[in-house]
Amino acid sequence: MSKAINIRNLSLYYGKAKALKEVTLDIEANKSTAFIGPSGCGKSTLLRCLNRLNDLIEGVKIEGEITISGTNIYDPSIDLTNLRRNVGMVFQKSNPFPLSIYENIAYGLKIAGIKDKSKLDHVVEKSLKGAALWDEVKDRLNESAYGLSGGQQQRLCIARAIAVEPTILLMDEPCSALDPIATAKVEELIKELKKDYTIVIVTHNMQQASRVSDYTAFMFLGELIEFDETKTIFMNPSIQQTNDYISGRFG
Amino acid sequence: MTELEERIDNIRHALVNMASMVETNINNSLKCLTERNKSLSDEIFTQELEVNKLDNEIDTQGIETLALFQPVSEDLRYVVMAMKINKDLERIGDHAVGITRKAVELLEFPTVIEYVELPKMAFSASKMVSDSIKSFISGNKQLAIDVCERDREIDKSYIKISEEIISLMKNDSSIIDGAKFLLLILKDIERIGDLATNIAEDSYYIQTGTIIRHGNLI
Repeated sequence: MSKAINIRNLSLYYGKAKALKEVTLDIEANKSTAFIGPSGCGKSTLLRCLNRLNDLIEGVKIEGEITISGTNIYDPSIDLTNLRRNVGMVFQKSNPFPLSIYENIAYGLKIAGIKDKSKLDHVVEKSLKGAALWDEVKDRLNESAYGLSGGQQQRLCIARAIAVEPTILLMDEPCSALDPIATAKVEELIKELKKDYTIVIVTHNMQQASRVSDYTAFMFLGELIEFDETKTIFMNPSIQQTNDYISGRFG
Repeated sequence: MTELEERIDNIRHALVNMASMVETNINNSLKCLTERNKSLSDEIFTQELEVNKLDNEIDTQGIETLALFQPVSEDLRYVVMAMKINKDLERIGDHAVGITRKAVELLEFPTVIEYVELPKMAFSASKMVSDSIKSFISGNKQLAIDVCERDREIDKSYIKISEEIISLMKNDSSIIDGAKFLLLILKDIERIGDLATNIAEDSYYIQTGTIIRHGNLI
């Protein structure tokens, strides 16, 4: 199995507080990896390190290395726009732009300089199909994205992320604001998407982690406690702390 | 204690209760046989109804726990294996009843063999049941493996005693009607050993997450 992401001795400080402690982890390509752990364990912080979103926070200091496709993404020469195009992000709350459905998808491409209408039409259709949304919106592409349901808006955000052809998709609790039906659709979508993308998902929902991920990383107080195949983590973890957390005994 | 832990504890108590009833029934059924006394049979049949009731209760508790709490890891193994152990205990209870019915039938016939080897085998099978349950309750992995290994002795005794009975039947055809019941009882005891082995294997799996069924002993 090839590794899409190599994290080596990664530590992150918010001022003096050490939020990530020497995390070392390899993430498989074209697999879905879940980060789980109680609130404040550092799972979202670790996820946001993967496309350098923490850079935007004042007072953050990062040590260690994250390598994607052989390149250390914390190298000063890295183009952040390119990095974030390659490593897309879907947030907890859907955040469509105040534009039409079509324009939401085409936005990133236009920013990248693509103006050819047929090319844009093709990518919009392909991305919406990839996010399992095309059939529901194909007749109202020019309507406002705000008219979509919460679940549809979240899939629109996924379509927007994949429109710029990333290799990695980061998802920070993508279903926490969705109802069970919309959640099931997004979960099905994750299974489809991993054929083409490497998925890293942060979730508080243990059942969701067990359903959608191939690998699971359990974190606690900024440390990576255990990382293994999801079925091992949920059937027979090696570390008692993992067992106690997934069994609901703390956290 | 979380509600999940409480539910698991309730399942454990129900299984211990059931195991105690089943062990009593095995021992009483053997008394019926060896003492040629049917006075305990009604008590055995009444107890069997309680065992069957507990079987349904434990299944219901297990399914509810899986549906409502989605246990994982050791809790998941515990609930699923408890439901399997429940089934094995219920079958052991059926064999105890089977021994009793045949022991009562045997009263119509003269004694076929001296009860020396057969009670020893029956006692070993009964001990396997109590030890398998002990390993389940205490999480004693070594005891579980020990129970599995003892089943080989039960199988050897089964072959030895059944050959002895068949040989007697060949020599004296007048004992066939009675001896056939004895052979069936022997099979009941051998099956009790098998089912106790299943319980021990499931107990080992709960503790370790490793399957040792079908002779894959570690």
